[in-house]
Amino acid sequence: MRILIEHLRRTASLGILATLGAGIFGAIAMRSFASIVMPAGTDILAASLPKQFQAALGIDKLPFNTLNGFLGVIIQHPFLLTIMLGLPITLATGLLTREVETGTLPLLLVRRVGRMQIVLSAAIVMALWTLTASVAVYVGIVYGAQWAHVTPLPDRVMTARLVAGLVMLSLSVSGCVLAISTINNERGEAVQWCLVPLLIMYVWNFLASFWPQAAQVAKYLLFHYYAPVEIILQGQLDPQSTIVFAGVGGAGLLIALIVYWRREFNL
Amino acid sequence: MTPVIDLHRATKSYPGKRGAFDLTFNVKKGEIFGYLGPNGAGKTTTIRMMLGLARPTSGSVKLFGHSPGSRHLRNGLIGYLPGEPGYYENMTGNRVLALYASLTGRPAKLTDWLCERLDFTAADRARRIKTYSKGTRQKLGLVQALQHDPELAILDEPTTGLDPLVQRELGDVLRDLRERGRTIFFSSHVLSEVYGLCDRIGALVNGRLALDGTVADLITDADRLLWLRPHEEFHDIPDHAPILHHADFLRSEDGWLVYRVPAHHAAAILDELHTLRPTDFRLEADVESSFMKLYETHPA
Repeated sequence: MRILIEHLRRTASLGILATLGAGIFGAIAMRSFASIVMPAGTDILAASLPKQFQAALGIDKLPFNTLNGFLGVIIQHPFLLTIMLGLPITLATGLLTREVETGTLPLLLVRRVGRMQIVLSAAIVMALWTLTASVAVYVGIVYGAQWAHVTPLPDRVMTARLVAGLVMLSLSVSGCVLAISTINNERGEAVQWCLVPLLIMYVWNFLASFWPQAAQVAKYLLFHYYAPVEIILQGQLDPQSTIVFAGVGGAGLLIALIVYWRREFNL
Repeated sequence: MTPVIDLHRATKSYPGKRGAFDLTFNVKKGEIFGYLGPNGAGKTTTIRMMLGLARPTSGSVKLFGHSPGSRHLRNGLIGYLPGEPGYYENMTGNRVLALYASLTGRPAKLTDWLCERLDFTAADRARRIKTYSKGTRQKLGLVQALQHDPELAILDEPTTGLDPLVQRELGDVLRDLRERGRTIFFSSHVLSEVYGLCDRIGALVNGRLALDGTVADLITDADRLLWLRPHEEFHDIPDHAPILHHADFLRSEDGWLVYRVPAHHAAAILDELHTLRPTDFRLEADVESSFMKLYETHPA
């Protein structure tokens, strides 16, 4: 419990910053939507988005100048993904790898702090800040829409489902980065091992939308299962995607626990 | 009574024949055990095994009868000062001490006493750790390791960075803790640090325990250095020191002639001295050389 409080205290600035960033993004997005639906705005954006890009974002199935189509895009906006995926990477490497890198870990382990407790505490803190940032996105969208006088207002249940999809992706990535953080001894190395696969998966998934050969492999990548537009069209979270995200996240956490429990530390 | 530390044929091997091998020794409650060895001899590897940071390749390591890493040992029984202590650099000393106190199963009742003894001032404690000098970092490390009055303190090179006055004070602090029944495992590569302080000494050479005995044993087994001022009849022949059958002449120094006397001839040399009629003499155990010899006779 003490270590959890300590972890929360240590990550508070970052968590609050991410939450604010996510919330403000949601609100500004709605403001942008209000300007898009003005007559001139639609033409400008339609002209500036190539067809392939629209297909990659899945908005070829939904008009971009409708609220749902717009939400389908902004929920996978790189800025938002950077916050929601960068947050677990920063937290996991900061709470686990950094303890090894700076040599502070033995001073915890000789006290009433078990190895498992450290990993579980990090996982809880990551989940907590991810949820907080996600709630901020939801609040930002809902209240941002009111602020921007968007009519009709976004469907709250639909918005919640979209945000839930984002949470699932973020938690799934959290599991992976937890595992990577427990294996590495240096934070820089761990961040690199987290970022590179994520970027490759993101880019590959993008390529797969117009390159059939790439699509063969894409189904094995995490981002393939992150399809906000499908959530809007189906009106629910895709069960298969939910299972994949939960499985990957759970497996990552399990690996992290086993590695941290069993590994040796040359400190 | 269960020994506080009990190693039985404990081995931890790393690639390149590095590590610690076949270590068997124990440390009893209330002892200060000096663990000596040159850099890279395997001292820190031994400590890693004791703390559960590394698993022995073979053999066993027990602390208070429990395996390292056991939850029984995480209740404030152990205090640990790493060889190169790492801290949360943006925290103040006070914050770090409070944090470690809150994570330990015992009240930190010695904090003020230790800070005062080790000259770790309130102003220092109020500063962020990233501004600390090496000595101040070491003082913080010592206070965090000992503030909860642990039954066993494992100190890896505890005098690093400390000035001579604080080093001496640390020795007194550790003696006081021993008086309270605490056990100290004092790892160092400097003999003079542990010689006057420790009850027993273990010496590690190339990962193997080359010596495990009391300081008295060490003195008994050590060669003697005989310092003598010769009778005036020898003054005219400074380069020709009188021959002693039981000693080897080493050098002359400021009017003194210095001889090495093997330990088993220590008594015989006194009879021989009588015939020389020196104006003054002193006989001292050459523990340092014994140690160096120990290192030389245990090649890698």
